[in-house]
Order: sequence, then C-alpha cells, then structure tokens
Amino acid sequence: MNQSASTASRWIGVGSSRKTDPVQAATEATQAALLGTDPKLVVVFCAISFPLERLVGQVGALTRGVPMIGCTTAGEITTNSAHDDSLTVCILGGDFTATTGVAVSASDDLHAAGSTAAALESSERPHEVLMLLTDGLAGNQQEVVHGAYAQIGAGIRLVGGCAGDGAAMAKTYQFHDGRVFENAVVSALIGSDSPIGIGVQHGWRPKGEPMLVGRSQGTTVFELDGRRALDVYLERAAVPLDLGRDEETFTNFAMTHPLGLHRGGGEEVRFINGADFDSGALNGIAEIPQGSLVWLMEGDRASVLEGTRASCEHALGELDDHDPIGLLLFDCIARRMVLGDAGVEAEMASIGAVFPPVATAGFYTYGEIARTSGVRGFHNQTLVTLAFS
Amino acid sequence: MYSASELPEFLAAVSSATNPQVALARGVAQMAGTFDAEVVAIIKGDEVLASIGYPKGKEPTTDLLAAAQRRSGTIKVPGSGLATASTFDLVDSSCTVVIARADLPLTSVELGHAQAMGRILELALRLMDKLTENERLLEEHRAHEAVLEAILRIQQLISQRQPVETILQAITTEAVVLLDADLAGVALHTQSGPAHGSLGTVTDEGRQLGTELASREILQAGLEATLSSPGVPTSITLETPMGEGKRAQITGVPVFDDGNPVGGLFVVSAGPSLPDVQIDTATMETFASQASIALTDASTMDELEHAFHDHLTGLPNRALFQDRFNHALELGVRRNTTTGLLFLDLDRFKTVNDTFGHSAGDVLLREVGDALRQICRACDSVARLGGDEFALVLEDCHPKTALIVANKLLANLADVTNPTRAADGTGVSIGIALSEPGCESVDELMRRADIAMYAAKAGGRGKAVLYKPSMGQTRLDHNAAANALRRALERDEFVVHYQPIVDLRTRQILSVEALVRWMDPEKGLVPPGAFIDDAEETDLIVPIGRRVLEIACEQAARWRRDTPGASDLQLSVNVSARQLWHDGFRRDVQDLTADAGLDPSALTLEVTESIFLNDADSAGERLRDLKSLGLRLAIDDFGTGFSSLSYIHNYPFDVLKIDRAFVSGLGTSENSGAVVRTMLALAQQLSLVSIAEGIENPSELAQLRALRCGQGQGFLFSKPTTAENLERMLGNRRKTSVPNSPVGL
Repeated sequence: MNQSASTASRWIGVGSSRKTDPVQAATEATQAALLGTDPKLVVVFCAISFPLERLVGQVGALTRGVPMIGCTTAGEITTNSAHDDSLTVCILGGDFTATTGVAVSASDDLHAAGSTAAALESSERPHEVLMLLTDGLAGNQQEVVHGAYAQIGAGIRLVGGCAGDGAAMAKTYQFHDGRVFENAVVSALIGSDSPIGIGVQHGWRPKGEPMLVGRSQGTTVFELDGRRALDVYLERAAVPLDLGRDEETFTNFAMTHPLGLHRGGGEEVRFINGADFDSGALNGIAEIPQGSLVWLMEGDRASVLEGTRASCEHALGELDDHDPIGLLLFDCIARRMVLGDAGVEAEMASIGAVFPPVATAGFYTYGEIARTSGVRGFHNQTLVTLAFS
Repeated sequence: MYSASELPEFLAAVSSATNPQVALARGVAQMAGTFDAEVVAIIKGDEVLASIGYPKGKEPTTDLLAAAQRRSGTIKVPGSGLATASTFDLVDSSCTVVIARADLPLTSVELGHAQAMGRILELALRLMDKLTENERLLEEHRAHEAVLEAILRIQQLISQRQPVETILQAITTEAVVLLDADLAGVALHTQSGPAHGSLGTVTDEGRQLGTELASREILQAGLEATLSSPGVPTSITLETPMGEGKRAQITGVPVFDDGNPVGGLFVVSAGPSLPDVQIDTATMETFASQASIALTDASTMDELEHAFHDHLTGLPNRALFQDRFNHALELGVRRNTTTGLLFLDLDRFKTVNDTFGHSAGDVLLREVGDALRQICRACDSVARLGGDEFALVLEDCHPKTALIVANKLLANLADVTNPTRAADGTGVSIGIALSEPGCESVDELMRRADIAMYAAKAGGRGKAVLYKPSMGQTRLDHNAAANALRRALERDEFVVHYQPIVDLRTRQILSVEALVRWMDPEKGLVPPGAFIDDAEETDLIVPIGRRVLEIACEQAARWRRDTPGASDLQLSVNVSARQLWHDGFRRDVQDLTADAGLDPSALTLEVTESIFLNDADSAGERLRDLKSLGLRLAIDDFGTGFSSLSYIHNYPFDVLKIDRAFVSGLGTSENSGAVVRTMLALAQQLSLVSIAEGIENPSELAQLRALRCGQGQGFLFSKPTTAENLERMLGNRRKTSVPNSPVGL
C-alpha cells in the first residue's frame, strides 16, 4: 500500500508491509514509498520481530546512497492505520535537504550523545528541524535533548521519539544508513523552503493537590511529601495499597496514572513504569527532580483523543496556510494502551479529521521529543505531530 | 509560571558538579530550563564563561558582552528573533548573567529567583576553587556544604507554602548557626511604628541578649544597620533595661519583596571576643535572598488568593469563576458536550440580615458555601458571585443531570437554611442554563441562568428552573415591584371593574367580565398591563387573583339577588396560568362562590392558551376538575397564541372568545372576516358559545351579526366600568339595551 503527496518540488511517500519475510517486506514498503528519482531521506519504523539486519540492509540496498535513520517500535503507524509486526518506510524527496548522524554507547554520557548526534551542518534553509530517535531504556532522555540543544542552540527545533520493542521494555534498536545499532542516538537534520509544523499535546489532567518530591535520583522518586513515594502515590490515586504489591497490576495501573511535573514551560507528564515494593520508590523513564512539585494525572479515551486533535491542529496551524504533504507521528505507547484497538482507529480518524489525506508515518514510542521553545523537550505520554508542507 | 520549588533542583545540579566548567554549564542549562529561556550566558570581563542557546562554537560573543555591559536592551535569539535580555551581576565573582527569553522578558519575581540561583552557583564555584586550591580548606568545604543543605531545607518550606513567619524563623535559625553569630534576625519595615520580624539564636550570649532586650529594639537596630551600611559590620552599644550598655557588632544586608527593599537580614555578635568576629557577607546574602523569595512568594500567593477568592466563604470569586467557566465552555465546545450553569440565590436573605444582623447573614453564607463545596464533585466549579448569589458549573452535563444536581442542592441546602435560623425561613432558588450551539458565551449563559433563577423565585422560591427562551430577555426590578404589590394587597388597593357582554342582536347585557384595577393612592388608577407581569413573576398573582374573584363573586351575587331583572346575570373572571396551577385554586373557587352565595353555574372562568404551554395533559385535568364544580370555562384571546385547535377540541370549554385582533376592522377590505367565520364555524360545531371581543364601531357589529356571532363586548357597548355604573346599566337592562355611548370611565 502507499500514500503520497507532493508539491511542485517536494514529495513524501509512505509505504507499509505486513509480510514476515524481511526482504519481501522491505521491498514492498520501500517501493511504495519511493515516489521520485530524487529521494533525500529514508525513515524506517519496524517491529522488533523482524531479522533487523536483513530488513534494514534491504531498505538500504534499494535506496543506496540516500541517508537513512530508523528504529524498532511499540507499534508502527502508517497512513490511516496502525499495526504490530509490520514495517513502515517513509521517504522525503525533491527539494528537501537531509543529513544524518549517529552517537553510539549513549548511556555512557547521554548529554554527550545528544551533542554528537546534533553536530550536523545546517543547510541554512529557512525551515529546519532535527529529528532524534533514541534508546529510551538507556537513561534520562532529557539529557539527550539538553545535549542536542547545547550543540545546535535555539534556532533549530527538535522532534523525535524513543525506540520501542513491542511492549517488552527490554532492548531497542536504532538504524543508521543501513546499519543496526543499540544504545544509540540517531539523528536527521531536515531542511525545507516551506514551513514545518510541530504539535505537542498529552491528554491528561491533574487530579488533586500537588506533592513535593522530597528525595529523588534521576528517574527514581523515593519520597513524596516526606513519605514513601509509592504509598503516597497509591493513596492519592485512591486505590488499595495492595496494588503496590503486584508488579504487573501496578504497571498496568501506573501506565494510565502518570505524574504531572510543573516546569517553566508548562506542565510535563512523567510516565511511571514500575516501583520498588520494598523501598517504596517509584520509577519513571524521565527525570523527576528533587524539590519539584508533581501532581497525579488522570486521563481517559476522550482526553487522549482530545490531545490528538490539539496536537494535529497545532502542527497544521504552523504550516501557515501551506498545504500539508506528509506527517510523522511520535505517539506514546501509554496513550495507545488507554485507547485500545478501537481507540487507535478513532485516533487515526481524528488525525484524518484535522488533516486532508496525506502520507503519514510514525510509531508508538517509549518517550517523545519536541523542543519548540525554551530548552526542555522530552515528553511522556504525549503525541508529537511533525507536519511538512 | 515559575515555581519556587525549582531552586532545590538547581542547587542539587550545580553542587554535584565535579569541576567549575561543568558547574557553569549546568548552571546555565538549569537557569534556561527553570525560566524556559532560550539563551543564558555567564560573562566575566570579556570572556563568555558558559552559554546555552547558540550553535556550539558560534556563540555571538560580541553581542553577549555588549548585552552584559548595557545591562538591558535586546539580544538575538536563534529561531525567534530579538528578545529582551535581563542581566544581573554576581558581585563576588565579578560575573554578569544574561538571560533572554523569546516570548516574554523575565518578571521581577523571576529575576529575583535567577539572582538567588546565581548566588548558589557562586557559592558552589567558590567551594570548588577552594577544594582544588588546598586540602586544608576541607573545614570550609563542610561549612559551605552545610549552607547548601540549609538552603535546601528552607526551600522545602517555601515549596510547601509554609507560613512566611515559619520560613523566616527557619532562616534566622539556620543563619545564626552557619554564620557563627549570637543572634540573627529578619527585620521588616512597617508603614508606621517600629520594625517587626523574626529572631533566631542558639548561643547563650544570644539568649541573654534576647532576654535583656525587647526583640523590637534588636529588630530596630538590625534595620538601622542594614540601611546605614549594608554588608558592613557596625559596632553598637545596646542599652539593657538594667542601664548597662552592651557592646555588640551588627551586620545587615537588605531583603526584598518583589524587588522592593523591605528590610534586612542581620546578625549580631556580642561578648568578650568581639574584635575577632568575621562575617561572611556572601553567605548572609544567600540567606537574605532566601528571605526575599519567601516574602515575594507569600505576597504573590496572598495576592492570588485575594484576587481570586471570596474572603467570607473561601470559594472562588466572580473573576476566577468566569475564567473557569469560560474554560469549561471552551472544553465543552471542543468535546461537543453541554456545559451547565446553576445560579443559586438565597431566598429572603435580606430578611435574615435585617432580622438577625449581618453577622448572622455571614454565618449563613459561610455555611451555604461549605455545603456547596461538600456536595459538588471535584471537577465542578463552585463560586460566590457576590451578595447571596452562588454559581456552579457542571461539565458534560445532560439537562436531566442538571435538574438532578439542582434538586439535590435544594434538598441539602434545606438543612443549612433551616427555618430555626430565620423566623420565616430562607431557602434557595436555582436558575439553570445549558450551553447550546450559538449560546456558548459566559455572558449569555450567565444572563440566562439569572433569568431562570428569577423565574424560579417567581414560581414560588425554593425551586430549580431550567431556562426557556419564553422567559424573555431581561429581568425587571422585581424586588421593588413585588414590595409595592404586596403592600397594595395588604391595603386592599385592588378594585374590580366590569365590562358588559351583550347579546349582539338585542344588545342586552347577558354577562359581565370582571377586570382588576389597582387604585394606587399615589398614582391613581393603574391599568393591569402595568402590574400583571410583575404579579405573575412574583407569584403575587395568586392572592391578587383570589381577591378579585372574591370581590366579583360577591358583587355578582348581590346583583343577581338585588337588582331587578339581573337574576340570571353571568360573571366572567380571568384566571392566569399560575393561579390555575396553584394547588389551592379549586378550593378557593369553591369556597368563594359558596361564601358569596353565587351559583357556580353563573360563573365563567376565562383562561388563555398559555396554560397548555408546559404540560397540556395536566392542564386538561385541572380544567376538568374545575368544571366539576359546575362552572363554565372560556378560552380567552383565542387565535393569538400558539394554540392548535386541538386545545378547544379536547378540553371542556363552553365559551370561545374571539380576540379583538380578528374583530378589528371587520368588513373593511383588510379584514374580510374569513378568520372570524372559521372560528365561528368551529365554535358552532363544538357547541361553544362565541363571544367577540373589542367591538368598537357599528360596522364591526353589523358584520358580526351577519356572521351570526351571538355575543360580544367592546367600547361600542361599554368600557370596563365601576360596579356603580354597571349597576345603573343593569337597571335599564329590561327596558333598553346598552346605550350607544360608553358609560363610566
């Protein structure tokens, strides 16, 4: 299948395949996405179930010499639908510019990895965006964003997401120029003469009074309001403390009950992905700093879909009346879990309600990146919409 | 919005850095993060020590140095154009900090916080310098570490929004220990009178000072030292009550509230070893900036609280409510859900105030506020709009839900507004308005809810009423009108005039229609049009109507009994919808006719089509119920409303009254009489007596006769007139018909 759009000088093609054979899948999706003779950037999102070397190698072989980045996911998004165990290939061509980078062994120094990946030469086009695909399991991803920001400054906005692995949360992979990496940050600096829009929206609302983070280290919170963080969290959520004894029950619950963090640029959502039942600590995947104020957040299908709509409308608004020709979506896995299968369809429909039919690619992430103003840009449980015109 | 809670985070980030360069890099990144500023730079001399926001290696050094020197102005932010740069100095390390944010410049409060961060950064840098410089300074290292820990503790109190007194107390206690003084204090100016503030001590010497001297004097000395020579130790002699002078050294540095100097943080050292005392002014300033943050934060919170909450009930005030309501409406529009607004008004609240005093009124308002808070879901917004008016927003609200909530409120508030409190009992009336496409503005919904609330009051108080367009556009000044009408009732100022209804063929008076007038001692005779609407809305129509019925029944009975030839005279009385719905109405009719000795069959009650507006079935039941008394029913003003023919067809009417609008100009080219003809045919088919209203000239009469209309009334025969005049006309009844010229008024 394929969906495409182009203006006189730029084009974006998206192809998808659900074939299990890596060569067949790569061929089907790449050919569908390759709409012109002048491709500039290949973006690959695929399930972790594929033999990755062969899959990515085949995409690379079919687009030889064209810069490529990509990653494994927790669900692949293609025009109008989302799947597991599939491959989505998106190709930007024509009058786009693109350069790519990769930083390996990211967990050794996430800040440095962000800086390395962002050390790309600007095309000096009027509209530029840096896309980062990272390993969300490698530590505090805000550091990656900070590192990238410290490298390229405020002039270029950042978008992207953390790679996934179904929902196993064990190991993710990043792709660069036909090769497969782990624990890496891959990047693409995309330039255009026509506006690029970014929308960022979660879909959660604060519940109850704020709590003070008494003691925390990185992504782990030990104390809230001077007591064991887990106890206070469960109390505030008004659920039995028993819930804090079973790992699976707790994780499922926490998935839809993130913490809201008050930040200079507004409110950010912090996903809680586990707890230490003995020490009473809560584990997140982004930093929850000591001394900060947090809220318990709640959401439902309606609020998540409301977030989708707002994210898309904002991105569309930034195109300044230019026609959109393609979308890249970085959508949180937790939002997908709240929505369920039927809800994912509803989400695709609400994207379709905002945008005219355009080539769409994306994936369900373990964390989202969008720095549009200020310096922060790592998000949780959020939909980041990147729209090209 | 910036939160003071981010300072501990900053502290943790910079104090854990392993070398000055990392600390500086983290410092600028943290500051940028805290204030969401794109650019932060630290400049020393002509060198940019650290910066963030520019592509690495392409920092515009000249621009940054210029901005640092200019101390204000603009600077280019990549991707955003020019932005206002805020700058401040770190005196201790001769550095300047430049912060630029694209959307808005830093506020004075934010700048204060940034300066506090700068101080912490300086402290951390100094600590590192010393660490690398010499191992001997380990002791000092610990001291500085202790300062950072103390600041963290203070910051936690600020984050928890502890009372400002508690925070200042903590600051002075921490300061006295870490500055190795005998006594520390925060002294604040007052508008008039002596300084006030907080004192802390841990040493015996300090305690002794505290006992010997009034704290006010110490605070005053601290304030003076701060003002006269900030940061410089001053020797003073404190006079004790025992008359002996005590030598002490006092040092103060200023504290600020929202950028304005409001006093000082000072330390006092006393005792024999005085000359050796060394004061670490940098640390003092660090504590002073903590005090400034606490004061600024407290006044900001105070202002916020004051600006958006009602002092009496603690509920959001009108300003905050409108904001929340607006938000709820916008959300409703986006989600395509209905937003409900409930207006609550205490009934007879004025009586409570007048009878029991304003403090009793305040207690009642507070209790109502508490009750509302308890009843409402967390996501509903409750507010006191002022006076005795409260409001409640219901998100995603079905009309039925709104009524259920309103009725629950009525039930629960009944306890609060219990009659034991006020002799005649207060209650609550609720008006409800729901958003709908085209009506999604705060103002319009508030207007509608207000109108509905008055409709609830008019409907008998203690009720909840949903807004309907038929309720009209404006709310009148009901209170004044209601009071006047109530007084008129008490003074029996309502009188009844009568208009004859005649046989159109013979002009003989068959019946009289009773019409109410108000004989106002000041204004004279007031026509019904001037007061009936108010009477309806205030529910006073019920007692007024009863009085009219009473007078008219007595009069008609007297005429039938005493006036020759009038023994079969009929009486027509108008009944408003509100009277009809009043539960005692049938009983009133029964009693009044019986008391007057009027045969019910001589009475016709006239109702308009509006009685079928709300609940046609129940209206029919009420009519049949009345009819069972043996009286007759007329449908008045027929054809003017929204009636369908089914009303007369299905209900037990005896008389159809054709409105003057159809009669006027009969026989002229504009009015061919087609409508009247149809009505008459209808009446005939249903065996109804038809009465034409508003007959004003002979040609109309001629036409009606030609159309075989049986009865009529109008100025041609007589205007409504007094009982005396009518009695005279009745005297002539048998002899002649009603005279051509109007009689009476």
